[in-house]
Parts: sequence; structure tokens; C-alpha cells
Amino acid sequence: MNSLPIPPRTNSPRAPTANSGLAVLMARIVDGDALAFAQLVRALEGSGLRLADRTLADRAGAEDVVQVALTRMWTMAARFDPARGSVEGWFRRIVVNLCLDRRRSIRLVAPLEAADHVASSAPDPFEAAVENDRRARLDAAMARLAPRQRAALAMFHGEGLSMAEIAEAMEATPKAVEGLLGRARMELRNLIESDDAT
Amino acid sequence: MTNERALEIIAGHGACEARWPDAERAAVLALAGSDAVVAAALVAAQRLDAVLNSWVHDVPQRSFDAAAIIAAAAAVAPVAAVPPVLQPSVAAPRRRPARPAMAMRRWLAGGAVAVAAVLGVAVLGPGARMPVAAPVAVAAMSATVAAATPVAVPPVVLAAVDSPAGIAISTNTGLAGDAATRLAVAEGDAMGSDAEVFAHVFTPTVYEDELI
Repeated sequence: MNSLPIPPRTNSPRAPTANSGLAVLMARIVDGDALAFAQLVRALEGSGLRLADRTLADRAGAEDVVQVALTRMWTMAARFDPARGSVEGWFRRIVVNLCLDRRRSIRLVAPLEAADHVASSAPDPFEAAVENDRRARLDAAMARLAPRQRAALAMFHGEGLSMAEIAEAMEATPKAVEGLLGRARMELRNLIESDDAT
Repeated sequence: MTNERALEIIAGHGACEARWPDAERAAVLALAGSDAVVAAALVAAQRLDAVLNSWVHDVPQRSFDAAAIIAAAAAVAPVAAVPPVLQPSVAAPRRRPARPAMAMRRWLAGGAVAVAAVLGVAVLGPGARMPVAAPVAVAAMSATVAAATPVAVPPVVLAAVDSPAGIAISTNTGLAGDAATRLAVAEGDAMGSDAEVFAHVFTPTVYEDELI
């Protein structure tokens, strides 16, 4: 049976020590501790940037989202309640909401046909062109998914999060996330197959 | 484990059994070994997993400047301007202290309407209990208007006034301090005309509704 590796995760929210450590940092941030905030930024920026980048497919937009999300972690630190969830879960929820808001105002335009004209600047032109072509077709297909589907795929396949963790970030139930992922995967497969057929 | 549930799990979680729900993993695996449809779905999910694994390539990282973020946050005027996000129930309800002049107008207006209502009931309704209920209500309202401050009416007085004077009960229970807070919260920043004040003063609570 298949045994694909689970993607590695940094700053795993499942690790209680790391999680409680971030909660302690949040308590210090409430008191205006800039050093604690710097530590929190180091702990969250990587996962936040990956999630935003994969959800938006826009590097500059992803950096903006993480910047705003981190700013909110500083300005709204007093509103964090450890009894209601983890620091990472709260941060992810802010990032996802910001991404979805951004996607509502900026519609990605990445037609599949555009992938036919991808040039390569890599040293090995043929292999790089093939890889670029495959990559561009996949990115174009991903861009056609709904933003929530893309965010869920980014968290499940990119960050290796559980259904419960994704549900917390997306303000949904684990069952709803399972359905969301199922529809996203089915739609992606259809897009790829229709692209292959043409 | 039904065929449909196994297909749901594979569709949502993919082909990697380590990601399946712990309680259902063994059953899905068993079904995949005996059901051709489930087995085919598993093979298709493996291909899609490979595609998705290639999609989640490494994202170039960037270090964000915590000091710059703090400085930028300080430069942006009030923190309250930031839209509320997440853990919404943590936020304290907004309360605006009532201005003395507004409070006086509110109680005067309330008292006038209460008196009118009680007199109306006394004239139109069955008269047996009105002689008892109306004076109690009027007396309580008069005292309140004179004092111009919220004064709690003794429970025994309220108990003596029964349903025919329901409107009076409604206004009387609004004398307590918690009711003033309730009004202030309800008004928020939107307190405007006298009509709005009336609407707020005479919007009964659930408790008052039951009494009425």
C-alpha cells in the first residue's frame, strides 16, 4: 500500500512545548516585550509565508499578508486566549482570512493556454523547459481552484496539518474540511485531465 | 465501513494511509483489498498526491523585521482601527457612559409614556385591579423622574403589580443600574433622536416580556 512521506513541518503546533512556548511569548508581548515579539516572528514567519504564497500564488502579496498578520499579532496580542486555541492556529487563521480577502479583490488570471509559451532560462534548456511547462500547467490549474480549496490543499499537503488544525484555521468543522479537500482534489484532477486531453 | 465512506476518506485525505483517520484506517485498507472501486480510487489518489507533492515546493523564505513591524504599528493611529479578527468573543462589549442630560431626558420621556400607558389601561381595561396597580407605577415613576438617577424599585412593590399594569412593570424594572447599562450597550454609538430613545427605553427584555 502507498506510504507517501508526510511533509516535514516546522514549528509543529502539535508539539505541546513549542505551543506553550509561543503562548508564553504572547503573554510577554501583551506587556510590550519587543524581544518576545521578535522571537514570535522568527517562529511564525516561515509557515505563514508558505501558506500565503501557496494560497495566493503571488509572492509579493504573500509577503504583504504575512506582514499584516504579524502586525496584528503585535497589536491584538491582548485578545489571544490560550484556552481557545494555539498561537499558531490563531496566526494561521489570520493569514487565511487575509489571503481570502485578498483573493476576493484580486482575481488571479492564469489561463492554461499561457503555459504553452513558457520560456526557460535554465542551463539545460530541454529538461528545464519540460519542467517549467509541467510546473506552469499545474500552477494554472491550481489558480482555477476556489481560494478556500487552495488554502486547504496548502495546509494539508504543504504543511501536513490535520483536519482539526485546518478546520481551526478555516473556521469550519473537520468534516467540512474533508469535503472541501475532496472537492478540491477532484476538481484539480479534472482540470489536469482536461488539459492533458487538449 | 461502507464503500461510500472509504471513497470519501480517500478523496479527502489522499492515498497516504498515515493521513487517514486513525479509527477508520484499518477498515479502509481492508476494503481497498477487496473492493475494486476503492482500490482504483486509491491508485488515482496516489497519482494526484504525487502532483500535489510536486506543487508544494519550497517557498523562498524571508526574515521579517520585528522592530519595523512594531514601529509601523505604533505609527498607525489607534489600535482599535484594526478590524477585529478571530477569537471574537474575547472582545469586551462596547459601553458608552450615558451623559447626564441624555439620561435625564430618557427618564423624563419614559416616565411620561408610562404614566400615559397606565392611565390608558385604567380607563379602558377592567377596573378591578387598576386602583392598586396604577398608583404604584405612577409613584415609582414619579420618584424616578424627581431623582433623575436610576433607583431600584423594591421587589415587593413590583410583586404587587400584576398583569393589567404590565407596561408599568416594564418601565419600572428599567430603573435598576443594570438596565441603564443595557440601554447604553444597546444604544452604542447610534443614539440619536428622541424617537430612538423611546424605542430603546420601551423595548422590553425577555424577562419583561414574560411579566407582560
